[in-house]
Amino acid sequence: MTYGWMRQAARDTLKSAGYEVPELYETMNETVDSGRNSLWNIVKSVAQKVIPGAVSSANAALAQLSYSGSTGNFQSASEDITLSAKFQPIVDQYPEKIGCPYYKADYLNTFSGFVQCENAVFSGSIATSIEEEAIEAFLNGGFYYE
Amino acid sequence: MDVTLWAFDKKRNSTKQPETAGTKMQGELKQNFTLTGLEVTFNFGKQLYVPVFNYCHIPNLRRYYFITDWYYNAGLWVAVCAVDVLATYKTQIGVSRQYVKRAYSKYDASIIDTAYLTKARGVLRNNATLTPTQFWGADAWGNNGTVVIGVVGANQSSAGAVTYYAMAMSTFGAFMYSMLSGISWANISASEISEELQKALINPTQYIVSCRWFPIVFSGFSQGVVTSTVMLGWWTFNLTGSARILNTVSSAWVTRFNEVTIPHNPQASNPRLDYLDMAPYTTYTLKFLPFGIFDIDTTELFDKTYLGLQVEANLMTGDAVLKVSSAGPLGGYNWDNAFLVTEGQIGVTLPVGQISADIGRYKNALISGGANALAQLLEG
Repeated sequence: MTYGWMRQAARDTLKSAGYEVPELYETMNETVDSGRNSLWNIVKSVAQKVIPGAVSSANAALAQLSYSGSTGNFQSASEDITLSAKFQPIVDQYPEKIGCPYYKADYLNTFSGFVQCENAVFSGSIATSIEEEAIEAFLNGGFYYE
Repeated sequence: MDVTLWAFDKKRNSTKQPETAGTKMQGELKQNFTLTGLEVTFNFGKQLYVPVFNYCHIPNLRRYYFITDWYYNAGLWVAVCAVDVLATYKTQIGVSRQYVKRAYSKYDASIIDTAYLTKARGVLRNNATLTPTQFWGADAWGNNGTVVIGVVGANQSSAGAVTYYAMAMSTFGAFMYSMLSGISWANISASEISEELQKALINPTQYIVSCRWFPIVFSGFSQGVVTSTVMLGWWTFNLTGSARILNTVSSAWVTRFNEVTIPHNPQASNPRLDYLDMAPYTTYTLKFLPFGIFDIDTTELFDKTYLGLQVEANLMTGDAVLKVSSAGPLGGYNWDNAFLVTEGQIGVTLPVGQISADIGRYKNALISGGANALAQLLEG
């Protein structure tokens, strides 16, 4: 901004009123005007270049993208919950011939069909020891109570 | 000597006694004999025919005998006899108490019978399945889970500085959009701070310290207090939908339960073969992600109908505990003695992109940027 026209108008007013306006005064005013203009140009430059540059740099420093955690696993939440079973077949059974596991102490007249004992001990009132041993061998080897 | 003869069909290891009267005849014992093995001479007349009898009872000796052979000698038939101890002592055997290993009429089907071998061919498989929706109520494919966010903000009843809000995915999406699409919610006049500078200075996502998705339908929530606002930092943010404030640790727990019917070995339908539901004849594998894949102890499922799965999840942290138990047809799970207890993370962490608002760094950059611009100006 320049104030030359104002200054010229003031000088003309003073002269028309009979005052003398020295040249030095003219020179001083011009010097002041020149300094004022330079200062204004600096302020304008600061406003137009320095501040935007500073803000731009500051914003660039802010642009740090970060995450609050790692990406989760949606796949797990999409999987069926499965109980898988695998069955191994066995050969044909013949329980009438070999019985089934029982493993319990019991009276033999509560059974029917095949029976096999473990470490059977038999004693009959009229049985000979040979007969008792024979009976125990049958009981341990498996016999039919029928 | 009286001898009763039969044509009798019986096993040699049987206690069976003849049920018919038999044929009574006179026989003569040979002079030398034992009680267990003897020979009896019979006079069947002059006809030479093969005797049909194979079993006899000699009352005088109080024993039953197998006739193991016949031979003919000097016009007489001689029976070679061996005592039948099982028939003879049937009554005494019956009243004796013995340790019975195996039997036909009575058995314990839970005892593994090693008498039968396994076959490589004919392996069968079966599955029991629960879909994620059946167990959790929602799944990732359906985009219908619940988001739980931990937000730093003013809340008198929150545990610590963070308040946890549970909301539907749609509500969360609208919340994020509203928060990031403008800055008007901050209620700062543009004449005081320009909107651009507000956006640079105010980073709303920094107040969201956790964000997790859970495969649970929000409408199924019953815990927590219903709210329509989120206290975000210094601000109160209005939601387009409702949320629930999980402001206590107890309110952040959620329990899910469901059960599957246990597949059983088809051969175990035979009541004698219950043990086929146990290893090595049957193996069970439970796949329940994210907890893992587990081999299940078959004894835990033996004689059981249902496999129960219970998950206790903490919505604040996403941690969960899986308990697995089994029950009969009438239920009755014993969760205190669950045979499988394991931990897992069911909360899926959602990334919340946030701009780090480091004011100190901003100030330094502001100064250095300004200085550089000034230097360029002076040099130019």
